[in-house]
Amino acid sequence: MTASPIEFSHLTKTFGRVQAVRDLTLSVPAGAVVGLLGPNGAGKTTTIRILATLGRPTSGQVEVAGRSTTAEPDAVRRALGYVPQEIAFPNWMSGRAYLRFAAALSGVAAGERRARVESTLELVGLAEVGDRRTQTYSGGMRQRLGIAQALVHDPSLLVLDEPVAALDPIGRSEVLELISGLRGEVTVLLSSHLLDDVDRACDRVAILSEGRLLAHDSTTSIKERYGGPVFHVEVRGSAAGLAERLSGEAWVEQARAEGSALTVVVSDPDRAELELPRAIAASGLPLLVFRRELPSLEEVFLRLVSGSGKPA
Amino acid sequence: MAGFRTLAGKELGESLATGRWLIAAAVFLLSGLGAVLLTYYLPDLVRSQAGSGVAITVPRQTATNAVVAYAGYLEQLPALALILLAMGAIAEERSRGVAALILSRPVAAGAYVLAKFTAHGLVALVSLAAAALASFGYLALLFHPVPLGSYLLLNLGLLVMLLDVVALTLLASAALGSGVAAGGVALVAYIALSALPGFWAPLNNSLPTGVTGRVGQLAAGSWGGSAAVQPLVGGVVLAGVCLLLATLAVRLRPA
Ligand SMILES: Nc1ncnc2c1ncn2[C@@H]1O[C@H](COP(=O)(O)OP(=O)(O)O)[C@@H](O)[C@H]1O
Ligand SMILES: [Mg+2]
Repeated sequence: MTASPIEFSHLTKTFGRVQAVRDLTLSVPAGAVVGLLGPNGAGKTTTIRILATLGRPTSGQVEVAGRSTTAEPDAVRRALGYVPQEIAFPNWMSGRAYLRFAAALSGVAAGERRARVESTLELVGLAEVGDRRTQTYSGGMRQRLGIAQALVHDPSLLVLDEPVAALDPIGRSEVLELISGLRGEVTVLLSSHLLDDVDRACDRVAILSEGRLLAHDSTTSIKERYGGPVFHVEVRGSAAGLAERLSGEAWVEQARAEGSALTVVVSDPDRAELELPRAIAASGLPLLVFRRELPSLEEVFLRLVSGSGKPA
Repeated sequence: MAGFRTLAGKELGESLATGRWLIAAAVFLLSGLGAVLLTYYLPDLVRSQAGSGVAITVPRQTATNAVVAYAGYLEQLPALALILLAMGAIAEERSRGVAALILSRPVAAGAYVLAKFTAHGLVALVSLAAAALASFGYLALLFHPVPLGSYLLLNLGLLVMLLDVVALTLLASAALGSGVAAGGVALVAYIALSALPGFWAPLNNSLPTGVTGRVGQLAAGSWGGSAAVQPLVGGVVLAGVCLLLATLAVRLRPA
């Protein structure tokens, strides 16, 4: 049994009076792509910097593959690749030269360096422009070089802090695809304040707000557990009257009508499956669509962060 | 120290790529040669400037005058140039995010600091050597040759002084948030390092000013030898302490 790629136990970090991270306990399974999701100021960067050995916990600890970030920082540094939120390279170096430098610093043997650098450039799609100075790179290219420098020593864990926050939609897609493509080869932890990114790239999500871990599970379970199911109904004619009637029911949290479409958020799904069709039949409106859906991660997130985070 | 060779390679490459060598060498050469030439032409310059009224006559300048001027000039602009070139070395890498990428790898904080000291110190060494060599030639040409041993000792004193400037600047750069703040603090520290020993002999005898401040006696050949050891060693110790503290600062706040 090997140690978990990342193990946070009771991690707390305070800056003066600010509690940036509060009692974070979290274990990341091997091979997963995990999203650390939270609004600005939630403590994502603080958490990741401690993981990357750039900050020290106020209390608690973090282990990477069983090695403590404070007791054995060099072992941790060899095991992980880190892409910081704001990435910068020495302007005068070419991308290829920078990767050679990074590989040497991380102890890649001289004989293997060239091959590692070339295959990593290839992987991130920078082989053609590898000899250009990093100064001339676009934001997307810089981000891909950031990922390359984090992968060049073949780490088992890749940690990225807001990897797509500064990119336009195309760059965003490219980088998320690149990260998704690493699934199964390395364990990935990426932070984001955007739900859509996490929904697209991650199979697990940890939701952080004001330094506290609110939830951690696979994205699907999180939606099922915290979202409460949503029913989509379409009838012929206006659904407004139906929505009004449903709003009074105990098992309904919210019923919204938009023309002939009706969205019903329920608190008791089992009862809703029985009662909702009956209510529609009783209304006399012809039923066109009846669908039970998971809420979007966004709905879950808003609920959790606004404090009503009780499992449905 | 883990990573030193690779980091030193990067720093030397940076010195070349940014033209730091050229800037420093130009400032050093201008200062050294300027001191010697100005001393030589000073009487003529004063005579040509003197209009009617009081006649000021400057006596013919000697090689000793020229060497004193040389030491004085090298302790000014060149020291300032070294501060300007090194003040951002750590602070700017940290604020841009370059340091985070380096220090999240298995490298020693000491190697990171020492690599920077090596590169910036080498710039100082090479520039000083160029200035010393050229000035020595002009001293011999315009005045008469100064005793080589004394001249070498003086330059060794200047070198230790300038290495202290580099080490102080790197410490300020590691401890403070911005390159400009580091430059300011380093400048004040350098002024203190040059001026304070003048008030207290035991301090003067343990810092490079103990050598550079005796430039008159040195050039005249009336001072030197083993008396110079303590100030030189003291200067080296000061640089070492600065680098150690800089390493601690980097370890406490890597990026
Ligand atoms: N070096 C620091 N000094 C003081 N406060 C800090 C520092 N770094 C972060 N913080 C505070 O800690 C909280 C979490 O910040 P951060 O980890 O950057 O959040 P996120 O990355 O999720 O936006 C914020 O309130 C921030 O202001
Ligand atoms: Mg952040």
